[in-house]
Amino acid sequence: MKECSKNILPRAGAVLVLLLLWHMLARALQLAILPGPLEAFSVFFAEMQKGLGHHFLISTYRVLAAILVSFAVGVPLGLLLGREEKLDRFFSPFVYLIYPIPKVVFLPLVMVLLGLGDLAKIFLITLVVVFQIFMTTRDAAKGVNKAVIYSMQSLGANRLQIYLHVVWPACLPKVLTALRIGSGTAIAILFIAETWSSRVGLGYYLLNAWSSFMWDKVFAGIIGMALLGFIIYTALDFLERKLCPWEYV
Amino acid sequence: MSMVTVEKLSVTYRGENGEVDALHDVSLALEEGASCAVIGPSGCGKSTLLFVLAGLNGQWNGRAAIGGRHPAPGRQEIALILQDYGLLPWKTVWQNTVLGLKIRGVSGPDLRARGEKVLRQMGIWELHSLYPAQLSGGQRQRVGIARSLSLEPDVLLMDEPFSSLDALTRERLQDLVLEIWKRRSLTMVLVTHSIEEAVFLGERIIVLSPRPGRVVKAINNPLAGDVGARKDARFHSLATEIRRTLVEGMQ
Ligand SMILES: Nc1ncnc2c1ncn2[C@@H]1O[C@H](COP(=O)(O)OP(=O)(O)O)[C@@H](O)[C@H]1O
Ligand SMILES: [Mg+2]
Repeated sequence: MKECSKNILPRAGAVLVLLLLWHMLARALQLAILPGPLEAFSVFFAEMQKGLGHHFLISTYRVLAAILVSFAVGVPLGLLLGREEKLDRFFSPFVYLIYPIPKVVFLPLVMVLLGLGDLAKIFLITLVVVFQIFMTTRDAAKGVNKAVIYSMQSLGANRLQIYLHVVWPACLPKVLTALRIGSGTAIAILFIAETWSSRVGLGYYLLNAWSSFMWDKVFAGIIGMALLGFIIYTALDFLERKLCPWEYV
Repeated sequence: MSMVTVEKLSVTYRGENGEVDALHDVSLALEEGASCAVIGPSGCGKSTLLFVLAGLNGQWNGRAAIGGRHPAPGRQEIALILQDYGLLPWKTVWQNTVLGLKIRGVSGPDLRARGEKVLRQMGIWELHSLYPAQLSGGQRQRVGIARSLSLEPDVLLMDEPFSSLDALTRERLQDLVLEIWKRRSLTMVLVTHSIEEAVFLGERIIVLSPRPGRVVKAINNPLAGDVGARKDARFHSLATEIRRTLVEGMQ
């Protein structure tokens, strides 16, 4: 609890500084395209009562679903390939070929195959994020201290017990970091996916406001995206504190 | 029948940069309840020898046996203690201590009783809810010893267990190991690069040459096991002899 309250003050301070800078910039420029924070937030709250709330929820659902699937697929695969050399030697050439391709280019293909609904968007985000999580987890699993593994083996631990007691907890903090980085990527991909023949979601809302020159609504949408990212980040922080208490002693 | 037998043991590592001969024709035999210190320059294959005995290294030639049986990891009667990293940073002192018991299927009141008993013996019961990062080096190694002893082994294998500790802490832990060894009549193989430690704890002292490690000399040491040995004049003459043997082995 103490740790949490230690974080709150600097974070609130950062929010204030950002708002202040935004305010001063908007004042100085006096452009319709850049409303000040006061207007933007009042539009944001008004819009949340109307359509924006729905868009926000749909986008949240898509991002969370994609992160969960990426986690469920990327982490076990990463742990496995990180520890089993033969498997890794077989699969890593494929990984290295596919990893650098910007997966967004498959957006049209994904839409043709999976339709225009949630599934296609979740799939596309997953396609990107799962690699980040997989790669981080695999490298972390590779780096697990050998001496710890040896002493576990000498205690009589079998493979499964070594995964459970050593490899998984050793990788967990890095997995959470990967999730944090992945959540940023996820929101960026979400935006792109939702601006393509989409009818709901923050990306759609933003593009819509954009193309009709409603700049205050554009900023309401941006605030929505920032809020989404902030919620995921804070949740991951909280999880790390719960799941990795040894990191905070 | 001897408890620990090694005959003409040779180990060659086959890595990406070719072969490394780590041990060459090493032999030693230990009766039940005896202690042996293995000393030699770093990289001469001391850890390799222990890993063979612990069953963690399966690529060797010659003969190695503990209690007449082939070494294998996780054998009930063998405990291995490593220099630094035996402990899991994400588990508390308590969880680390009872880990071996848990892995071997002990649970419930039996687990609690054995864990508490051994932590009290090591004088670190008060620390049971702390994480390794919150402990001093000496306390950490006590946890490592506690975890091994909780399994009530017959053979204790130790790989430079105290080399990262300050002098006084090291002596205190050496005293502790001495006491445990006597009380439990353990058979002990201690790898060390400290001459004093070898003389204090090893009834038999095996001096190895630089890589590939060969036995340069095997010394019987009547001083081992004597709590006051450090103050004995013979302690220093024996240490000097070992130092000379080590230097000769280098040439
Ligand atoms: N897995 C391994 N692969 C290749 N060489 C190794 C391996 N483990 C140890 N060696 C080499 O074998 C030699 C003996 O190592 P080790 O038994 O750890 O020595 P010591 O414990 O006496 O310092 C060293 O030269 C080391 O580099
Ligand atoms: Mg060594």
